[in-house]
Amino acid sequence: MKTKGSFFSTKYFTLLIIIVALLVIFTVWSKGQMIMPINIRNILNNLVLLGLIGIGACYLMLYGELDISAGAIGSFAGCICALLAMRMGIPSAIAAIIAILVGCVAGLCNALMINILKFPPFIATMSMSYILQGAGYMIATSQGISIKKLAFLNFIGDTKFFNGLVPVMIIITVLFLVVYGIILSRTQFGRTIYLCGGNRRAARLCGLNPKKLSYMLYINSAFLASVAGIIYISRVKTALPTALTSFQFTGVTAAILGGVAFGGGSGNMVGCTLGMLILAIFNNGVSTVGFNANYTKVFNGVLLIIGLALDAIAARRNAKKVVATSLASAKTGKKEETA
Amino acid sequence: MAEYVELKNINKAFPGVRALRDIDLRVEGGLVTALIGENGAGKSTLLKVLSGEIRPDTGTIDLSGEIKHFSHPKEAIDAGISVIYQERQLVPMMSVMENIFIDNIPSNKAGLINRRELKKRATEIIETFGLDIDPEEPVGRLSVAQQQMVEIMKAYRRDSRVICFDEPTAPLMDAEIETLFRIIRELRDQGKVVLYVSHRMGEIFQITDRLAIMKDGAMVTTRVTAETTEAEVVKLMVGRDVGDTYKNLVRNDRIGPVLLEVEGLNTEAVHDISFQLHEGEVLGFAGLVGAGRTEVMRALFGDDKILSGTIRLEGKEVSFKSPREAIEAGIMLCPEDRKEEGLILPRSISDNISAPVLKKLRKGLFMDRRSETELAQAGKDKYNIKTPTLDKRTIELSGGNQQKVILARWTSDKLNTRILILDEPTKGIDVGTKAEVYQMVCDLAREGKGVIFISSELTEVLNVADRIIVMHDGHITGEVMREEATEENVLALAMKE
Amino acid sequence: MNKLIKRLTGSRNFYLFLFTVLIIVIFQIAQPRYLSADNIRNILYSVSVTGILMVGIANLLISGNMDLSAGAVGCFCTILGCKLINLGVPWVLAVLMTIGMGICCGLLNAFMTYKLGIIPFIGTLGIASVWSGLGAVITKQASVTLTNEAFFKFGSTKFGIIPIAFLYVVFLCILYGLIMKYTKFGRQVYMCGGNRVAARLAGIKGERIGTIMMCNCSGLAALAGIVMASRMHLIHYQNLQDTSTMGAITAALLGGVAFGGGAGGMLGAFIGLMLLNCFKNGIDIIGCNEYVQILFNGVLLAAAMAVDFFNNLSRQKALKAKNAAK
Repeated sequence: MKTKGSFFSTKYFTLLIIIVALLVIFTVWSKGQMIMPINIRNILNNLVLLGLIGIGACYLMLYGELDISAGAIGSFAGCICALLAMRMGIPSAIAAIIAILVGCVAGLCNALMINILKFPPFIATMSMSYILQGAGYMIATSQGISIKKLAFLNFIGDTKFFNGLVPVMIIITVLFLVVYGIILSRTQFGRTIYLCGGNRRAARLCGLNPKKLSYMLYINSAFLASVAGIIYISRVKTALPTALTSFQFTGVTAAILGGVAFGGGSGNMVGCTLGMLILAIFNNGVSTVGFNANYTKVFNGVLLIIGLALDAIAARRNAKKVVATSLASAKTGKKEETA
Repeated sequence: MAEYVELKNINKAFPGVRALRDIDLRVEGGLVTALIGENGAGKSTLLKVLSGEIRPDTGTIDLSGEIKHFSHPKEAIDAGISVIYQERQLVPMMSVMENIFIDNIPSNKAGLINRRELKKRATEIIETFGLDIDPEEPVGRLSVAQQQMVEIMKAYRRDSRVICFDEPTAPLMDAEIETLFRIIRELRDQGKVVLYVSHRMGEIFQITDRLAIMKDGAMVTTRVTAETTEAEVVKLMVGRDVGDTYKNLVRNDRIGPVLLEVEGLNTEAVHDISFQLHEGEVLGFAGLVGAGRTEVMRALFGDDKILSGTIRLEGKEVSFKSPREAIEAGIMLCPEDRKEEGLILPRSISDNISAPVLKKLRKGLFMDRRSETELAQAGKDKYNIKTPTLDKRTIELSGGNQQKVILARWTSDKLNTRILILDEPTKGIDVGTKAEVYQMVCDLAREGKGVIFISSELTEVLNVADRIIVMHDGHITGEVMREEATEENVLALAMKE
Repeated sequence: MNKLIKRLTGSRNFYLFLFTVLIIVIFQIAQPRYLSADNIRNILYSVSVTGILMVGIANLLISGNMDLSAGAVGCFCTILGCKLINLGVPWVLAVLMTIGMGICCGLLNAFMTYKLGIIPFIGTLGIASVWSGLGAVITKQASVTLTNEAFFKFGSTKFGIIPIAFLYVVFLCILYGLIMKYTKFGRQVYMCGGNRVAARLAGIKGERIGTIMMCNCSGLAALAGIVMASRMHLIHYQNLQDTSTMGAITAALLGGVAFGGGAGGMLGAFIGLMLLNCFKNGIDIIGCNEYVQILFNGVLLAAAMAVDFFNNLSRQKALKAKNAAK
């Protein structure tokens, strides 16, 4: 869609400003540590997991729903992969594929609960999240399964291109972001998501199939989360049953900050990516200047609420604007009639 | 002192439509005043203003000398205004007596409910109405008619100064209507202000003393019921320019062979539906709200499950499992509820027009922006959609332009439209655009398409359709050609009196 | 007598009760230690904390709202309360202040929901993260230990095998049961949950009722936390939190409280609570580890929703048949 007006008046510009501001503030605050190469890599590492889970969250939110089991699915897939590769001796590449498939089945179960049994998406995915966490603990216990000497996982986790500057997983994530961005903005499938998210009933009466889409999106969210789970274990070398659970909210927060409307129907991948960057930089900055993980938790909660509040306020202002324009047009319309 | 309500200079706008314009109305106590007008004339909105449910943009309510500005229904109730809503507002899980006393459950100072008193008083009211309802039964288990009576008892019990009825008889049977009229007369004799909204002319002349007529959000005039006739009222409701609107219509005079044949169609909502639609024909569907017309169309369109019956399209038997299959076969549906079912409001005009033909707008893997814009532009030009850009979100359009977007969607040249079903296409749009819509309907017929035209406005169906099928309570009760159709015979079929 | 039997067999709670008994019998057969005095006390202990939380959440659900921050609020307020006790504030006062803080947290939730227009589901989730993070920050991730002997009596007194905390739950269930059933306010809560629009048109201020119920829920959550601290003689930032909140929601749903609001009652919720805890304890005692319990949290939550779904389905069918008959 062509947006009229210059780039500087768009919300992307605002988001970019925020990103730059955050970078500057934290760099000064941390006396330069923030932009050390090693820290930049930390930010990127964080962005990998956030990015993958965030894409799934963004797609689902555009459709108007939420999957809060994504983090648990990712962690569980990691555990399965570790279990298969380390304890059963299956080659790690195959183990990873099986783990991703298992994750997708969990996504399918979410979709079944929501579409067949008509659970509210929130409750369905919440219960799935508990089931998988419990199952993950049963597999890996709270100590986790440590990963050693696995060709495929080592390749994903440790290989770096361009003089050791760009890790493979960054490339994978960027690839995912670009491909999913293009799918969303350029293809029939992407359009279908917007249309169904904007009005499910009307979309069905236009011959689209929102139900089928819902299945695809929950499975997709689970797929991306599972990939994130595999990447996580290949980098950290330990499969933990709750490794990614914090990302299911940060994913949603990133999407909301990036301008994806909560009810569905508007927003895009560019905004979403910028939202992810903001969160990744913010969280990293907070820890770089010396706050511990608990502060991050607090700040993330606050950010989520700020994002939601801005979304709600924007929606309200929009509604007011619509009434105002229709009032004005009604008035001019009346004049035409009398004339 | 006699009670009265006086509305002064009430205005109210909603997204896309100006619902009330400069309403001035004085309603006297001790009389039953009918509030009448076509669908979308603004009657319900006016009642909502009275009940405090919505706040008018301008204007005041004068209640027997007290000037009121309601910001919450509670204030209206406290001031003595009760409204009986068309869409019954009951709490299904709670008992009849609790629903009747919903806003004033008898209780002591500590807030403890006096159950015995509650039951006693509820029983008294039910007896006054002469009904056989157990006061302790959950409302959700009652029949629709009984629920309607509970809704009426709820307002009756409040002993309000002003009581407004919004289409109270729609779900009722004769005996219950008798009871209702007895109650209304009783209220009138007590000197209360009674406002009665209905579409049924017979009832209006039977029960009301005064008429207030609305049209397009404005108050047309008031009349003494005894001194006017049905014909005059209809003329006032519809406006003087009606004749001309329809006279200038360019119709299709060459009606072709049978295009669609429906035989013995049954669904959960409608029974034994059989009819035919010819090429180039405008087939009207008349009936009261809730007669089952929309449900027939939903079944035809593959949206509702069909229990039995056959549908033949150009002689070939078809059965659609989803709207997509119907669209592929050439049947298009413009649904009744434009905002809930028709448009994808947060998306642009061009997105809305291209929604059913996405597959045909692809170039390889990707959507082809240019042909999409061309398609939308063609629709905009054909239907004269007033908008500065095709990227405008449809939520920002007026009702008439929204309807045009939907028409443009279903008649684009990427679709092989054989049959177009229009469900209340003129609901909530202004007079000028209505005339445009009528001509569009006739133009579609002239292109050889079959058009099914559903409307609750009798004059509209009578004048636009070539043939009219009338429905009542899920059944087809008759079929009339335009030449033979009069308001009386169609209405008689629709009400099956 | 016949009427009584008819009423019993017609009620959901009766079957729920039978089911609970069945579960108890099964576990007793599987592990004879199940109904020993010690284990019964264990079960009653586990009931008590989730129970207090559940009373607040169940009533909030009935009003058609949701609060996922209850556990985190309870923990955070209790941490502050325990710090106050350690500072020498009389414990009665500290308990009241804890509950007061809980109510303030509830007000914040109501502010978010009604003034900012945030959907309670996701908004309270964000808030939960804030409170539990703050709790960890304040305590530096260590437990706050208590030494006030008088305060311990508040939560750890026992009457035979019955802990006082369990009596609190019973008392609260009865109290709220009566309020919800026999007071005007209680009926208004049901009306708001059952049909928000109808309640509004009848002049009931839904926002006011929602706010009260949110404050009530958070206040009770704080009470749950402080009772727990009094019994354990300490509070840790990971106590309560999401798992307890979800446990309480699951108990309420199992007990027949409708997810969308408007139906269910305290008796059913209490039975649901007993069922949940008897089940969890049983799993534990037959030798499954705590991780299986987490899994069953999810399974039970899904099961509770499924029961709700099939209930609605059969109700709708019955209604349809009735209308068709007419």
